[in-house]
Amino acid sequence: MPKFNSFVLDQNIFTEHFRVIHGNDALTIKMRLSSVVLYELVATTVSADDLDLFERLRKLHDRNETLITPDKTDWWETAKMIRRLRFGDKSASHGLTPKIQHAQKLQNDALIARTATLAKCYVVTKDIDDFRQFVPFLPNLEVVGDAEFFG
Amino acid sequence: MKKIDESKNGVEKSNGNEANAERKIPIIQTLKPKKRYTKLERELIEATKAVMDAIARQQNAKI
Repeated sequence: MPKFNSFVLDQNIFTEHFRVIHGNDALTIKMRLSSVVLYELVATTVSADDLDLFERLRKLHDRNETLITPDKTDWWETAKMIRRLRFGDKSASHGLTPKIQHAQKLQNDALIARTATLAKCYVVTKDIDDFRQFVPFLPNLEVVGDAEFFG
Repeated sequence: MKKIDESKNGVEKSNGNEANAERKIPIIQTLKPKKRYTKLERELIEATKAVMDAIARQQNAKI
């Protein structure tokens, strides 16, 4: 069991496990909503009507103080973390700066990981390895796979 | 009959003779619903359900 009590759901958990989330009130109350995850969900939303639903959820989590949003320090520390990740890769690639194929995803995952950890939450995701690469920089980061969480 | 081994939080343990009887309980099953929710919590629950419905619609799926 994770040592933290609350959790943040990654975007892929919402899109794959929406039925379970829909039917589990205890989960809804226990979870914290990441602004970064909300961004990822809204960016793929096409209907204007649906956009209003996401906006309402954002406002309610904000009022409930369960909305986790990166601040200026989070952005700066995340930039340094990504730089160090790339620097490590660079030394392994004989001085060439490696091209990060999914640079924005890496940035978003890093922001989710950092802000969740600071809020004493673990991250539930399908992409466990993507998040575990941040553990050397975020020693308290806890990552839980969807199989462990949902069974 | 199975019981929860409290010394190993979240681990289900059999007191029978099954080999390798220990297995992890999914975390979601350890989340206990509250008997009463505040107005804000009820609003959060309804808003979350509405968003899950929207995600289902995006995927042409049904809840």
